[in-house]
Amino acid sequence: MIGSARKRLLIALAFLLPNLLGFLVFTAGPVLFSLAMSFTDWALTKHNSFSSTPVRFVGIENYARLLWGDESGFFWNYFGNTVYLMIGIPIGIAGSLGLALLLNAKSSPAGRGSKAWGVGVALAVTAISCFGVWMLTTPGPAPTELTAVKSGEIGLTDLTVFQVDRARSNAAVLAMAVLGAVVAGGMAFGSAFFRTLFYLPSLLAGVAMFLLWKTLYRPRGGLINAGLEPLLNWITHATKQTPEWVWKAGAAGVFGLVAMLAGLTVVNGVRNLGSGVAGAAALFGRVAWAATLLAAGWGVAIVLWRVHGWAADGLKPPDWLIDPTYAKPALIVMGVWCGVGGGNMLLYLAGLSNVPPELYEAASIDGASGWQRFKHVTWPQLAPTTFFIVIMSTIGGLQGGFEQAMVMTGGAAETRVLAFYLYERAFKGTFELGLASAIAWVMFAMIFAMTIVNFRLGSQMTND
Amino acid sequence: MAQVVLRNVGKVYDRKVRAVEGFNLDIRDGEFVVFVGPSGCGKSTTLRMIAGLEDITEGTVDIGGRVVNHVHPKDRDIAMVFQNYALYPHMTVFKNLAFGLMLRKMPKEEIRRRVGEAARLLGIEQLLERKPKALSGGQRQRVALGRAIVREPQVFLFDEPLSNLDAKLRVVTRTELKNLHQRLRTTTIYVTHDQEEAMTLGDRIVVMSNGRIQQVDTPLNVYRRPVNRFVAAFLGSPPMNFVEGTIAREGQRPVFVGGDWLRLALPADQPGVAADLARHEGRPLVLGFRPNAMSEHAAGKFAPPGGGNALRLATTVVEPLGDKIDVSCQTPAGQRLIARIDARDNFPAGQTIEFFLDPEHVHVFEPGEFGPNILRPPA
Ligand SMILES: Nc1ncnc2c1ncn2[C@@H]1O[C@H](COP(=O)(O)OP(=O)(O)OP(=O)(O)O)[C@@H](O)[C@H]1O
Ligand SMILES: [Mg+2]
Repeated sequence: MIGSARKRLLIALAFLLPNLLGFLVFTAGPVLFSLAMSFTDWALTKHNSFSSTPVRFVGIENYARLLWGDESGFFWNYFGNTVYLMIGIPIGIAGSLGLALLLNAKSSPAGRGSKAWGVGVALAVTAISCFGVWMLTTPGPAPTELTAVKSGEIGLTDLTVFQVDRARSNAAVLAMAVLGAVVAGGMAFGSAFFRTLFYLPSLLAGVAMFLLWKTLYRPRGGLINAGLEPLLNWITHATKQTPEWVWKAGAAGVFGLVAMLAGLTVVNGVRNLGSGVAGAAALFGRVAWAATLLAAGWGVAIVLWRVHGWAADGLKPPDWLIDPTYAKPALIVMGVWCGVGGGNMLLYLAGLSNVPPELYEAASIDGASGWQRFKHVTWPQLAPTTFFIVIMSTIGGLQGGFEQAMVMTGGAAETRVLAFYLYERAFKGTFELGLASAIAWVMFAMIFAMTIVNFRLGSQMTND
Repeated sequence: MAQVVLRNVGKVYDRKVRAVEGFNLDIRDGEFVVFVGPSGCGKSTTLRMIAGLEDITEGTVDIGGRVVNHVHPKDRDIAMVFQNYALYPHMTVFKNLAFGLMLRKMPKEEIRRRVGEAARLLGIEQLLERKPKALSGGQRQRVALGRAIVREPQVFLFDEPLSNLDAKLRVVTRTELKNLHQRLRTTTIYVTHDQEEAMTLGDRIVVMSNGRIQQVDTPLNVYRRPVNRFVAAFLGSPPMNFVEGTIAREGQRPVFVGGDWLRLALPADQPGVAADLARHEGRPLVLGFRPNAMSEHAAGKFAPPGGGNALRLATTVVEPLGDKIDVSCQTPAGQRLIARIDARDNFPAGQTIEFFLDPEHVHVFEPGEFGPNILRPPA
């Protein structure tokens, strides 16, 4: 019996062997080896086939250099960049949830006839408006322009204006056509169409997407600035028409209002302070909410306060990826766009389809408004999903950012993250493999700690 | 409290599935009405239209003298108990009960008072701090009930609230529900597919089939005087026996003839009945009688003057129930009948025995699933 049990174990192990071997050779081995490396001064410039200097064991020196020694300036700076870029995570999660809610909403009961009708109307309206815009914005035929130039009626500079206009009209027609196609597709196939549409970016390779966005972000001729320019021109114009004090008063008013709201939120929280941990947690939530409100209000107020001054010089769209101030926000916006319709949205959709409809009906009879149904049914029911998404996104955020930095800015200092730092130390300059391994292990420690904290907080939230 | 009036109510799902049609019903203030019928007959749909959870395709629903077709569920002054209870999983029992009151901005002391009262009424006071996850099925059911009670609505709506409980608990809770209704006297509409539940709970029963009302009456009247074969077959357990045949005349008396083994003299003493029967003479008809309309003994009501009510049937299976036994029999034509008779030892299975049929408790239906009862004894 014992013999046969051992035999069975051996057979089982034999079946597991390919996988086990792969894991040992390609995962566990390198991981442990990198841990060992992180305690050495191994650098390819010093230790290679042309030099016989032995690799030395240096204890925690690499870690010391990173955390408080000569490398700490870089390390903490890039750590800061990593955290900054993670601002996109909550925005993206909120976006995924919003999309999932929209896509999950029951489409209104429409028969087949009215569906075809809707698609037809959408396509017709699109076609007509595209044609109209094309006709209105496209200048006359080139020969006329040329004769006009020849006869001195218009200068060459005017001609460039025409050309810019034509490019814009093309962009406008394109945008309208895309919009029309989206509306028609939505009418024809309902939310399945939008689910596919929103998921598309996740199907395309990351780098291809980044290159696309790099084109969009081009300061001159990029689609984003092409759209922003006329808008900003209009704002400049409008701002100059209004006296400065109006704007400053507006800024003061907005901030005052927000401050009042935030204050009320906190005061109400204190007044309703329940007993025990739950009460404290609720108050903490209110304070966090108030702080967010204040920060947002402060931002808006600052912009309002200054806008008149800015407008005096004319508002210009930013040089996105090139300008240090805008590089990180540009990456965040791109990250949110790429991720919002991806896996998180699918997880939320799955979560939403698991909410028993009777809960909504009961809440509806209990007198809950749409927002209250979300707050008291949807959100608590989605807590486990949110929990999972937050944990995975935090891990991804701390690890990620390498491709973005590499592709979008070629590794400009403002966009360098820890992963990029690791790459740079290991595979560039002095090829310090020991130091790079230490970076990897510090990252691991941070991710591990962060995940534990998330688990502690999250299981309190979801465990009911 | 309020009366509920449904006028020509109909429901069509997605412009193609018809679920309810021509539903007319007047529910009195404080009445306990039960919708009963086979699965898919439109009970839940009707209830949900009253609750406001489904749009009303046709007709009007009137609660307390107000047409509510376009009134939001929360403003209909109703409370509903769902089959799976639909308790809010992340709230304590207290909060589950208080939620609707809090949304209505009721003062805190009033909420506490009402929740406390409902909890006492239902015996769930010691559970108020628990989450639904930590409750048994029966306790959850009570909490769901409590959530409806604290609102003090004009109408209670129940959609199969007991069907997730085990058999014993279901019977106990049924009694408690009836008690509760007698104390609160709130107008109640109760959906079930369990005919026993319908019979025991309802002041009146609405028997439905295929989206239509078949009969509305008190439990006993529906049982004793079914308007058609469907109602007769649906209520009662074991179900009514049906035998095909025709009406013939022997002298002055109408007689039901089923094959060569059944010749039952029908009671035609009531005025009008004789004429009704005469009209159907010679046509194919169906005789219906409940299992307990049969007996082994030709005595008392089983021994009418004129007789002719003896049936010789082959017994196949005998199921003792205590002081009664259910006997499965086979007619000479090969049809299966069930007799519920007084229990006695050594009842012979697999023999041919003489049974007697109580002619006062038979029904005659026109053929077809919904064939009308032409011998419906007047109330
Ligand atoms: N949302 C819906 N869309 C389309 N058809 C529906 C919908 N809900 C119910 N139906 C149909 O309407 C009919 C009545 O359904 P309903 O739920 O009212 O039956 P029920 O009497 O409550 O049955 P049960 O005892 O099984 O609960 C059924 O044929 C059902 O298939
Ligand atoms: Mg139902």
